[in-house]
Amino acid sequence: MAMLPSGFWAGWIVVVTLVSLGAVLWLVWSIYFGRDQQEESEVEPVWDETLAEGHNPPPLWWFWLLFGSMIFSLIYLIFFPGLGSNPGLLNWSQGQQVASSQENFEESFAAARMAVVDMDLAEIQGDSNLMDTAGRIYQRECAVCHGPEGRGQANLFPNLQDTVWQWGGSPEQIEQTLRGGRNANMIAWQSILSAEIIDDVAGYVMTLHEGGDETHPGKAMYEQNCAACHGVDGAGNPMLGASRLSDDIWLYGGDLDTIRETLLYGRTGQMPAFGERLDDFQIKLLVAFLAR
Amino acid sequence: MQAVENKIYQDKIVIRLIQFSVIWAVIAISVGVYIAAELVWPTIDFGQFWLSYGRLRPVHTNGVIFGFGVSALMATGFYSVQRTSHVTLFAPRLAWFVCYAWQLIVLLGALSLLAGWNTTKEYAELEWPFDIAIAIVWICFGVVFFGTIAKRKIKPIYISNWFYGALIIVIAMLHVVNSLALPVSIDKSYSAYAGAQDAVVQWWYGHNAVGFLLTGGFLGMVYYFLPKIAGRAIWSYRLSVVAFWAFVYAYIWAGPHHLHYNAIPEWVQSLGVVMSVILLAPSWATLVNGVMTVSTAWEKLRTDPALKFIVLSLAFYGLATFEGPMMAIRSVNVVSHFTDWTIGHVHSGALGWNAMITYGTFYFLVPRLAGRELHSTRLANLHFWLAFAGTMLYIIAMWAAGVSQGLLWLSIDSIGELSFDFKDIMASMTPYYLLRLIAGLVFLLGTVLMAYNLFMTLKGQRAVKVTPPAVDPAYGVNA
Amino acid sequence: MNGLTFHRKIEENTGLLIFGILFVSAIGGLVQLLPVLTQESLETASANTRPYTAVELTGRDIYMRENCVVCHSQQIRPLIAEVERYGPYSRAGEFVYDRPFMWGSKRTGPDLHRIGGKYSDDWHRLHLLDPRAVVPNSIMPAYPWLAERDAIETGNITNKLTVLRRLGHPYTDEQIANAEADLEGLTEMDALIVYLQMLGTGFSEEDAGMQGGAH
Repeated sequence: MAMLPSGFWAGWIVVVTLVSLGAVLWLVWSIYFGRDQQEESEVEPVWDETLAEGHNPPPLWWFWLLFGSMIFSLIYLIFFPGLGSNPGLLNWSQGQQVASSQENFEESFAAARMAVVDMDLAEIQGDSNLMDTAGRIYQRECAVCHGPEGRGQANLFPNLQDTVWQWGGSPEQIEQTLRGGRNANMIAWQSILSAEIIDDVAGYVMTLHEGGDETHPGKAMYEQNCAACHGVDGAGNPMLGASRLSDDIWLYGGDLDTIRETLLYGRTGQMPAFGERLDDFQIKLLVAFLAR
Repeated sequence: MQAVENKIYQDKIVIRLIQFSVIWAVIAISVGVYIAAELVWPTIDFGQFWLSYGRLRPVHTNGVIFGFGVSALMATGFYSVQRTSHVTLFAPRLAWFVCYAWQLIVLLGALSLLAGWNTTKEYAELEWPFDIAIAIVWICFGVVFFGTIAKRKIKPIYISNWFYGALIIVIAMLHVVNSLALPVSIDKSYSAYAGAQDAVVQWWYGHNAVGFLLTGGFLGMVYYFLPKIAGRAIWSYRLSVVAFWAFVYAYIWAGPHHLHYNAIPEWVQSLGVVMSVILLAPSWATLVNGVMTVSTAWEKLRTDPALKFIVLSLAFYGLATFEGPMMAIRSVNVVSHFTDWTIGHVHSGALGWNAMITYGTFYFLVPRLAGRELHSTRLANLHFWLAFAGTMLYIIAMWAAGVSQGLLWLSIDSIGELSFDFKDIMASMTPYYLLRLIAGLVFLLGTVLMAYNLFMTLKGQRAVKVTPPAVDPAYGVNA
Repeated sequence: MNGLTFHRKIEENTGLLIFGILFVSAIGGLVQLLPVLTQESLETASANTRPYTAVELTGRDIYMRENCVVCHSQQIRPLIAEVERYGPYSRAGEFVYDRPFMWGSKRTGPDLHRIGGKYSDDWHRLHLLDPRAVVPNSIMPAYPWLAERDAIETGNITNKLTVLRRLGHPYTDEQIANAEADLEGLTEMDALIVYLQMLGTGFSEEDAGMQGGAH
């Protein structure tokens, strides 16, 4: 249903619109075809030496243009909502229009899209058309954070092209990440640990990719405070979104200063949830695109 | 009685307003060119808030409409109302107050926009202190104008004055209703209307600011200056009458076509559609009247740059007033809404129609006011071609940009996915935006040439003294 | 009476001419504005729509000050492609606390009505500081000054809420009393991001059918 007025205002709209249109038509008719006494008089007004009123009869086609557009208007208002509470013969409304385009959409595409949802990932990945579509969905929905090539951006948004997945790289985990979003929560240690200890831990973390420096002064504090999430060897834990520290891949940066900053202030990387924004087809394609 | 008739027309104020108008044209078009460049090279705001696109854009629109446009309308209105009433201005001191107070409003208003005072209602961006000042000055403008008409020596009120009168009355009504707001502080207020209701009120204003200022006011210019320059009577009086009243009646309903498919009731949109279609007829009535008026004076077109500008402006007027009703139809609007097509449409009106007719009128008026020939007819002819080329280039670039935006945004592929990403469509606009920048520069160059030409014409001259001619007693006011 | 004779009277009388113009030009507004301004369904909030908090309102005022609306609409049309690109189409009930409305008339950039929750705060921060750092082809201006200004200095927030309450927005005394404290410690950029993150969240499936929606 269209948003239609009711009661007094509905009548007001109808009456004032039609009466005023009729009045304009009368005025035009009367001026077009009426007698003008002034034209017949001998002297006529002249303004500013040369300005005067010409007596050419206005063109008939113009009258028909106006009359025609009024007829068009009346027909239009018979078919579409416009005259007060009258919904129009077509019963058109914006909501009804989008609902019927939704139906058309389902009719045209639902079967094909459902078929894709039921396909194997490998099958999708082997279909260049579908992968092309998947690439477009990625560009539209993901690229402004993860970069046009999926290589991450700005030391904030993870690289999706490497082998490391903060929240797990299995298709199921990727789908879960897409649908529900992720909220990483590396707490700020500045109020818990002293600056010196933080320096030590940061130094130790930098040695993890070589197996960890057994003699490093930060080792003990690392194991006490960090290992629960990141693992004693720094392998990380995708269940918690705890990054792997034992490789040379860093989201926020792997130099001493950045690691110290991460420890001091914490990190709250956030992946928004797309479960409401994307449908099953789109999510399936994205999973296929990302889980290559 | 004798003494009154010997008074000379108040033309100094006309010259002053023309000067302001030309200065605003140069400034506001330059700002337009600059923001056009920002859409090509987004970093040329250098991180300065006052050079930022969002703040400069309303300076461009307000400068053009209220600086250039209104100053030109005041100048030509004061000039023509005296001559068509055969009397000097009513309350000349008030007229001078209107002249300077208006410039002050536009100038301080522009600065306030740079400072971020902004209601964000399009073409009504100025905050409440300015709204009050505008209302006061506008009413004074009305007093001067209608006061002059009231003391006229010739009984019938000439056609051009109907249009200038409609400009003054309707803009006052629109401005007061749309600007209603509750102030928070000197630089901030909240609209008296909210959401969908505010949208309907705003576009009732926004569309009719275009309607009665940029169309109605400038039609007043046509009805005085076109027959005057051509030395002919206006072709058909009857057509003028129907053109005027059908125009005043229909235009005011057309606003909702700016809100097609938006969250407002469908019935309002439909009334907007039908009245926009009906509006074509009254719009074209003046086109026909104007073209037929010059049709017996074509030979003047060869030699008179003023008439060239005015005739070309009528062509663009016809184009824009045809395009407008088209864009008001829902199925066309689906494509054009939110795109650069709208920008192209506005500029075919603002450059092709408003600016050109004003330029033509100034080329006619300034030599007359100064009592000497135009400094350079060759420069004026060059300006004509620059203005023509700039406008065409601008419109074509924006059509191409707008139509492709509209279609690409809506395009869906064979499996129901959007064919194109917004970012890619936006990025593909660069060539059009570059072309538009060039178009703007060409148009600006022409305007600067005119400013120079008019300056040289006026240099060292004082306003020629003209006294009102006698009126045939048959049509005298006391007849 | 003959229309021309009638018109000769009008054009010889200043008062009649003024009255005639006023009368004829008022008709359209009387028909379109009065029913719209009295239509209750246009003033009824959607189930999830509430007045802006002090921080959101400040963010919105910054959005207005920088005139974001000249390039970004907040109005998703009921067209399938728009719904697919941006989300559920906009309903009148979602805008009842928008003074003024922020629907816009031009999309140089994308629509923002359902931008809330689409990107992380960090992304918005980066993007506002340097749009091209995250969208290489972007032509959006950068807004570095927002990070340097305190949100509390954007305007008198207590006055703002009081004025809006006078206009009918249901703010509690407590909300007004706490308004300044809510802004404490936030930059203008923080406030703007809070506003952006709540955009479009006033939608509820429940009243989807009510305002012109058939599904």
